[in-house]
Amino acid sequence: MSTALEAYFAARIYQEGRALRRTTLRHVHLADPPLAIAMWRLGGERFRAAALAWGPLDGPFRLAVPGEPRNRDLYFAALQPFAADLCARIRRAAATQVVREHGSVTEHIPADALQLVVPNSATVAALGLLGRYLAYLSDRGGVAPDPALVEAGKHLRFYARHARVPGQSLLVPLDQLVADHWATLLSPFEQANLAALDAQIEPGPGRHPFEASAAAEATARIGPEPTEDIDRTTGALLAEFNAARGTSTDPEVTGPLAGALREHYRNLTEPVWQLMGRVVARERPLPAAPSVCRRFESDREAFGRHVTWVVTQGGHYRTTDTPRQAAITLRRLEDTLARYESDQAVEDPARMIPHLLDGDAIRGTVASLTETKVVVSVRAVRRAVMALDSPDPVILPEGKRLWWTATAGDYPWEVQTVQHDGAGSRVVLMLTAKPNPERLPAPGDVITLSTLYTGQSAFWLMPPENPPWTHRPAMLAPAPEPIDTGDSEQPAAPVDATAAEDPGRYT
Amino acid sequence: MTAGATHDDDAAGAQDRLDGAVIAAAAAVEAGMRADLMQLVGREAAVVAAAPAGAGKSHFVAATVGQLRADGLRVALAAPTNDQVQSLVERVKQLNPDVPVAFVHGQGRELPARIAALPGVTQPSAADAQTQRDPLVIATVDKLADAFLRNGLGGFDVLVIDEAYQADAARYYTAAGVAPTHLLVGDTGQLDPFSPIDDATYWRGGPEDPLQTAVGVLLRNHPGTPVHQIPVTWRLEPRAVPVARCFYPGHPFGAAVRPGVRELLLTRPGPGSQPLASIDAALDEAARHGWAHVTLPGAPVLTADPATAVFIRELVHRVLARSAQMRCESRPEFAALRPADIAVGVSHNDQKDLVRALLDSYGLPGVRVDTANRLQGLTFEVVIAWHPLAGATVTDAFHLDPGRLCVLLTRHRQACIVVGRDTDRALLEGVPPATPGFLGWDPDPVLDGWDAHEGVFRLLESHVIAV
Repeated sequence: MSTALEAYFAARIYQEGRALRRTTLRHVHLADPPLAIAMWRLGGERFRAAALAWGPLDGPFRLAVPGEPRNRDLYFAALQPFAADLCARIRRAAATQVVREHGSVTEHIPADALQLVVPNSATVAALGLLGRYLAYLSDRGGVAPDPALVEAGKHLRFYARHARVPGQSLLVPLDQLVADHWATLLSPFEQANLAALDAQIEPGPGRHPFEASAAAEATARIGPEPTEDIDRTTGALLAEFNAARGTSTDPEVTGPLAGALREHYRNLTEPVWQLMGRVVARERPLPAAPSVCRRFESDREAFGRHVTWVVTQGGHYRTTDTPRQAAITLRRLEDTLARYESDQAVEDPARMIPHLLDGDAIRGTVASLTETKVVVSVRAVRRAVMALDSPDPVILPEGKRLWWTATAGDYPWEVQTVQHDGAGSRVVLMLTAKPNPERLPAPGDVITLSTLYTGQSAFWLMPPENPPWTHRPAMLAPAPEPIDTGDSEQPAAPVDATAAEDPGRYT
Repeated sequence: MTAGATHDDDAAGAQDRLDGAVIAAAAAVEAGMRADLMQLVGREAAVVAAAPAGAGKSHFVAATVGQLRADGLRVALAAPTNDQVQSLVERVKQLNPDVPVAFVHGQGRELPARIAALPGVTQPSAADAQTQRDPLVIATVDKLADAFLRNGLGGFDVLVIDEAYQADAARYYTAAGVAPTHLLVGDTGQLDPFSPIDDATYWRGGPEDPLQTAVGVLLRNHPGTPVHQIPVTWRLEPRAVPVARCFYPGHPFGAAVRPGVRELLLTRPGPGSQPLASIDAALDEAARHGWAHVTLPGAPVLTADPATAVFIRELVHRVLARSAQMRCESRPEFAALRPADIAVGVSHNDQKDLVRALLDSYGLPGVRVDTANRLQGLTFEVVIAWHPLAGATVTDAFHLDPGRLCVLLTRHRQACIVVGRDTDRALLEGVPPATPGFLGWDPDPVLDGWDAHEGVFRLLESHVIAV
């Protein structure tokens, strides 16, 4: 993130009155249509969806409203259609496989993967918690929960965890998609509101983006966290619903009684659905960057492994990582992030600008290309030497390694000298490999070199299965209770502060 | 030139120049650690040595390795970076000339010719080191882990890790298997392991957190592991210790060298001219007091601010132009300050590149310019530190990190010149930012950094040179 570029964008946006694109390409895969999910929580109940809308984004949504989400029977009955539909779609997507040759290894991976889009990153976290809750449900009175709920929990958990992978496209939070592809005048905190972001891009005639996003933020309700006004309405409707149903959980009784709550959440969801559709429709026509396909292939591979584990083998996931899993995941995420950042800048000239401004990249015209011989490990070898004329002042130390964007996955060039020439600079670089024609630009070419490498990261071996003694606790922790322990207990009665006895001490 | 050199001093001179009480206390702690370690050999157990900056860790490690070898034990010695392990090879050979050292390295990471030529130093492949059962293998933590997995390099009696507070739990996971008994030595004030990924705190507080330090995971799982605090700094002199203490709360330590023993003398007087007045004032202040805090006019600036970089270049150029001489406890006669005795510490790579290019243009390639991460464990006579908050408009976790400031302000033996802007201190006025909490994880780098930065600003108040 270049401070200079951000300052430039802020000035231009202020002057032009609308947000500006940061990219010339789309760096995320967008399915046509993806499965969209919007969710509303009940107050501070982090594991409960008071309403959940889902469906292909190009059509109407289906809505699950349990009425009283704190009641297990009502909650599960409402979520069951969503769970069943999600499981069916995932199994369908994974059913068609294609062959992939990986060196000498032939693999089968799903031809496609179900893509989920959600309005914001908060919904990703909420779906992760919902998945965490459903995936580990225990039997209640000898009655097992609907298997679709448990399977859907595992799927949601997988999607939420996969969302950590830089550049992934399985679960796309649209606020992040927009913030990555557009420069706005919003702070990172304000960018979490998809409506405010959208208003900066299309503020409407005669409206400054400041006013448009402020108005959107004041009126738009995106979820999953309910605002105070939503809570107030929900509270009243919920009280009416609970009073009318008594202790009944019979769908014949509660179904009609939940009509008002359903209508309440339908009205909240409609604008969110339209907003998501508008955002995706605006981003989809942008040409996808070349590496999007490769990254989505990695997503499909992960998706296929997950479906095989959960659906075919009936496997479970651990609730927390082992030290070994955490170590592997960290390394994979770091490697993926480095490659994703390099891919974006190398493929998209707009993404290279911050690197040019920060001095991590140089752009110029190839003035000459000659060949020399240098001694490497007692052997004289051929090396190409390039003089590059940059119109900008270049500040790079000798020995700095730079990759030409056309061969960013290959060998780097090494800076030999930098000479200032008026306002610009002449940079002399030497290729650190044999000067094959495909590694060489032609004199007169305008090229960019940067510190970004797009090749595979170094091969590393998996850590041992058994943790060393240093990573094993001297004493084992007690097994945790099931996640839904206490679900059927009555909530504690509220405390009347005026009637409470003064204990006489406060420390 | 730290602990090793001072140990060569003649006894009478050393008594005058060194603080015997501080050194005796440190020697007692070191002896206790070695005794603990020798008792644990053969068991799955460890000893931790927590040290302040410049505590002579490498000397302690090299001496301990020598003792382990003298007892016939097979030892693996590791550190996180290539620079660190190369310097460990040299240090082990200095103290134990007769001990053979096998340096196992990654591709293109051979020892510099000077170290490789030392008698008894070999550079075998990992497979050969295992086949030959080399009695002392030195490698980076990563290389040791890779060799353990790929070539079965293992079966050591003791694993010694230097800079163990820099090594993360993920890397330690694999390397830990090479030996049952461990000695972890490190500097608690330096930068913690970090990751560029967005949600690096995902595992924070959990026992599986791969970004906790090697010492952190060990103590979490085995809280009974003995931790010894080394109470001395050989690198820093008494005038530098109060600032350094800001980074080591709860860890008492003192300087091994007595006040006034080290001296930096600018033999050519300043100021040379009006443009040089502030530069000379900063150099005079640093030479006289060991510290100078230069504050350029307050302004929000780019990370790689050209004005700051040019000022730093002028400081470096001018200190050499004024024919700086220095003496110390191990070299009582004045000797000239060389470019290689000077380092410029920065926080960002683009700052490094800018200062490097500016110094190169002045013909000063011998001056080391690096980020705090890369300067960890290194010693210089004079350090010019680009303050992490210089010209910032807001504070954030990266720039407040106490480890970064600690590294920048504790590399020097003679003097440190901090370069910032006069608005930097105002960033710490008011209420510190809200920071997230994590169950099972007590440290708060942002609030700790806030405190440390405030303490440092306060202690440097009397050394401010406003430009």
